[in-house]
Amino acid sequence: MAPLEPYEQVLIDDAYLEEDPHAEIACEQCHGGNPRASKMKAAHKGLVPDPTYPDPSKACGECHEEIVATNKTNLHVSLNAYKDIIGKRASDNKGVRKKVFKAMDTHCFACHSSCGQCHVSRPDSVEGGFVEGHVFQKTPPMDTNCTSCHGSRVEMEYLGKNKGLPGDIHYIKERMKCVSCHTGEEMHGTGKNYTCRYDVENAPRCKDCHEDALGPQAALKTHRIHNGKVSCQVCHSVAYKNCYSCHVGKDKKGIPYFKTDKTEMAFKIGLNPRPSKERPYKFVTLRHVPVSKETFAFYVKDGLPNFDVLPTWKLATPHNIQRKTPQTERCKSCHGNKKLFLLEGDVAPEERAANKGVIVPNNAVPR
Amino acid sequence: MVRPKGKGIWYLGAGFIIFLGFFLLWGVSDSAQSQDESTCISCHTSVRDLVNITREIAAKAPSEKSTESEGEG
Repeated sequence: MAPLEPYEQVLIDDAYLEEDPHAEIACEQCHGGNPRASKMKAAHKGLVPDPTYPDPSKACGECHEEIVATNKTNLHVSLNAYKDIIGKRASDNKGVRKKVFKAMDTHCFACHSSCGQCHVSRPDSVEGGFVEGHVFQKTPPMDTNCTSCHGSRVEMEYLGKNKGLPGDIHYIKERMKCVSCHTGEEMHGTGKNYTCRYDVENAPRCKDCHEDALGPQAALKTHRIHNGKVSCQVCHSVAYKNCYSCHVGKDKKGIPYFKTDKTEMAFKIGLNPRPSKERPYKFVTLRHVPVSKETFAFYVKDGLPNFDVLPTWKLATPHNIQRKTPQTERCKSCHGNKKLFLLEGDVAPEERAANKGVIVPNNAVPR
Repeated sequence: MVRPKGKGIWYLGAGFIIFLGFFLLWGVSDSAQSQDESTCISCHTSVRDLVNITREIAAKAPSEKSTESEGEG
């Protein structure tokens, strides 16, 4: 998505002033600054560009009290998942740990959302700018907001932008948008402090819509046979993006940058790293995440000595669902087809210890 | 002069209505005036002003995006 021209980013549309009830509130009440000053510098003194981050209670809370109440536990705001997984891998040494988290502050934590960055502007991480001249969007637009952050994986998969691979049937056939499955209730958080999106209780499940197709009474024999044993994506997903070795640092001017070594399209079935009541499956699709032992090497030596406590091939729910896939052609498409499974040889030697719980032993590939 | 009984309440009511009228008029005119006077609105609704200002800013402080970023994040 191309960034907006600088003037467009801050241009207020007449529609906002004429139709949006939020325009009844004076600008300075949310954003500060001095509306009487005639010079830009003086007018912008004390300006708060996003008054909804990190604490939206003053700007939004007066009217939207219930939604704001759970804001701190909203994963898009708390970024608890990053904190948890890096925290587990990071050194126990206080000084080293502090440097790791400082690096995360500069890089990883720069990608967060807020009320304003979903409902008024594009997210800061993609240079911001009003979505529609400051008109509040009850439903955040998919293309300017959701996929501007979730672009390289979700957008490419869902819309079918990966060369030679089809888009998700929910989009291609039904034109479903992100919010068709990911509701406002899910996005706003529940008040429970989750550390992983797969634990979120009101996150969408296939069975929410396809209840009859699942379970021991399912009409399709293959669904009955595989019920509870494999995730839906194992049969109904196709190749998806895997990224490797992300390094972060600062350039000569002190501007933060990141580098990832390679990206590859692959489809790998592995052992379920986090079986739960909702996902009891033995086999799931796994995606390689870009973390590496040296991710924070620019800031601190040996920052992630506990690297092996978590797999680098993570539980994945690729957004490229198909009714028919190479796996659904016949039984032998999967059974005995070792190429589909994450075997030891597929994992880099330095990451094998981390992934021992998800690598499928040769003798465990279904025959 | 003796006023007829009950007229005082009438005067009091009329006075209150007049006061309320002035109060509301003052509030509305103040609100309209503050919106007119707000440089936030006058500047941020003018394409011409914003183009000029953002060009000036860009000339003084070019984009702070590292050219060293590589790959997909």
